[in-house]
This record gives sequence, C-alpha cells and structure tokens, in this order.
Amino acid sequence: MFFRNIVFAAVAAGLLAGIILGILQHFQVTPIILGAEVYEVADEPSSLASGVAPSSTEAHDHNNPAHHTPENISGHFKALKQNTDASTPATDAHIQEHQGHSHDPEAWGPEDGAERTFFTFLSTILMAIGFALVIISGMSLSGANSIKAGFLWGLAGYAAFFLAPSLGLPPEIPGMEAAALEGRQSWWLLAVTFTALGLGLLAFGKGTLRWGGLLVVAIPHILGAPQPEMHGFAHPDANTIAALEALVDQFVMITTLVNGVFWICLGLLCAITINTLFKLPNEEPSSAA
Amino acid sequence: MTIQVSNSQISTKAASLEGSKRSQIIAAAVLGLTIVFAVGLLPMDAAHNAAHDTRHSAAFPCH
Repeated sequence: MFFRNIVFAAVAAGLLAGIILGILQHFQVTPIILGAEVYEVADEPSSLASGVAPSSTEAHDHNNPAHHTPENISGHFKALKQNTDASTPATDAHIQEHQGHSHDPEAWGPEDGAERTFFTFLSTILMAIGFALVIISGMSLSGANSIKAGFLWGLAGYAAFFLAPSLGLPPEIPGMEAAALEGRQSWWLLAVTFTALGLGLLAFGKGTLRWGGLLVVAIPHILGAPQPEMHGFAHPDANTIAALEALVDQFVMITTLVNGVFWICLGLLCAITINTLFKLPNEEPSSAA
Repeated sequence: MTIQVSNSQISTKAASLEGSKRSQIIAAAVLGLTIVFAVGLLPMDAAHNAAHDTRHSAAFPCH
C-alpha cells in the first residue's frame, strides 16, 4: 500500500514537473545545444575539404546553420562519407557527432526534429519521476510532508543533483574539451552522494554531529573534479571559439535557472500529491520540516 | 467475546508494520535512483543518444 502510493504520487508529480522542465528545456536549453552542434560540424579537418568536389563543398556549407535542417542532415552524412574515403576516421567522428553523439556510428539514435524532441521529453519525464520517488521517500522517512517540507526537499535535490556537481563539472555544451567520461561520472556520483549525506546530517543530525555535514558536503570539492588537459574548445577558428564561449556562458546561466525552477516545482508538487491525490496511509500528523 | 492482546503483542505488530513501511520507502527510493542513473549515466549508446539533450541540460557528465 505504502509503496504503491509513493509510486503513484511520484509519477503524478514527476509527470507534471517533467513536462514543465521539458517545455523550459525545449525553448531555452536545446536551442543552445543545437547551436553548439552546428559549430561542432564546422570543425572540419582541412584534408576533408580538399577531397570534396567544389560543388559539394558549396553544398556542405557548415557555417550556415540553416543548412543543418532535420530534412537534409541524413543525406548530408551520406554525401560526406561517399566523398571522403581518404579521411574516413575524421569523417566517422564527424558523423558520430551529428547523430546524437554516439560512440558507434551504427548505434541507434533519434532523428533530429520531432523524434529527438520526443525522446528528450520522455527521458526528462522519466528522470523527474525518479527524482520524485527519491523526494517522496525522503519526506516519508522524515515524517515531514508539509508544503514547506516539499519546498526544502526540492532545494536540497537542486543542491545535491545540480549545484554541487556543477561546481566541479560545469554544464557543458557539445564540443567542449573534457576529462575522460568515466572519471567525471565517478566524481559526479561522489559529489551527489556526499552532498546528499551532508545535507541530511545538517537537517537531521543531532548535536555537534550535525555540523560534520558541512565537511561531508565539502569533501568532493576538496578532492577536486577531474579536469581536462586543456579547457575550452579545440577549434582552429578564433571567431568560432568566441561564439562557443558565449554559448557556454549562456548555457550555464540558463541551465542553472531552469533546473532551479524544476526542482522547486518538483518539491512542491511532491508535497501536494502526497497530501491530496495519493495520501500516504497511516501518516502521522504532519510536522514542519 | 473479548480478545485479549498483550501490550507486547501490540508493540511487536507495530514494530513489524513500521519495519515494512520503512522497507517499502527504501524500495521506492532505490527504484527512483535506478531510473535517474539509467537516464543520466547508462553508457549504452542507445540510452545515451535518446537522453542526450536531457543529460546536457541536467549537467550529467556526457561524451
């Protein structure tokens, strides 16, 4: 009974908050990612251009964002691949970048356009439901299910899952130089786990133990996130680098805002669903956070 | 007819209910974390490609 109600409440809250995040992402975040990918395509090895006939060079005007429409992008890959047998490795890397950043060019990936948007919404909503399950479980364990508690749980989730990892590994747009993925994922997990534990100690710890939470929160940052050998973008054109750096600044600002709005909505919606639609059975009288 | 239940029986039952409640809450949290890690960190190409923009947006390490 308990499990069922937590899941139902989390699905309801996650669905709504996920749709809100999906819409914000669609209009504010995804355009920046797509903008960065256009520049990423512009990162063309010169050997590639020399192997392409003049007419196809014109057709592959990578500096023209309008060229990379969802309709012509697949044909674009084929043309590139046919025209550049001599530089296959570079071309394959190029194609991988365009096909949703796969590591294997044969791997499935959503087509740009409606399909990509659909999968972004789907994964966003799933992620929101996952986060809602964690928040509602935390609220049930702590016995605090007021709206204020929901708000605070939302803030804590924002701190643990977005702010703390972002301090070491700022949000990135495609094409940025970064350290090896495994190392970054491990540090991300470390930052999320320690921030959650530390905040838990600060909120629920007794006596002086509570202040140990500050140290726990700081540990991942004392250890430090894995950093790339070189920061920024490995791109030959200075103007493109300047444009990409402007995009990164915008991306960090927008994602910080959008994720903040999302987490607060999610925390509030979790509190609302467990107090209205899917009341948790045998709930003790609600107490403040 | 009266049913006599001792205090210890009640408290045992309450404790087991409390234990069951706790394990259900933990199961829900584990389910939630599994979903989050599947969307955000799963290395399979198909999972990565489908959730690509979501991973970038939520600042999960990508690429």
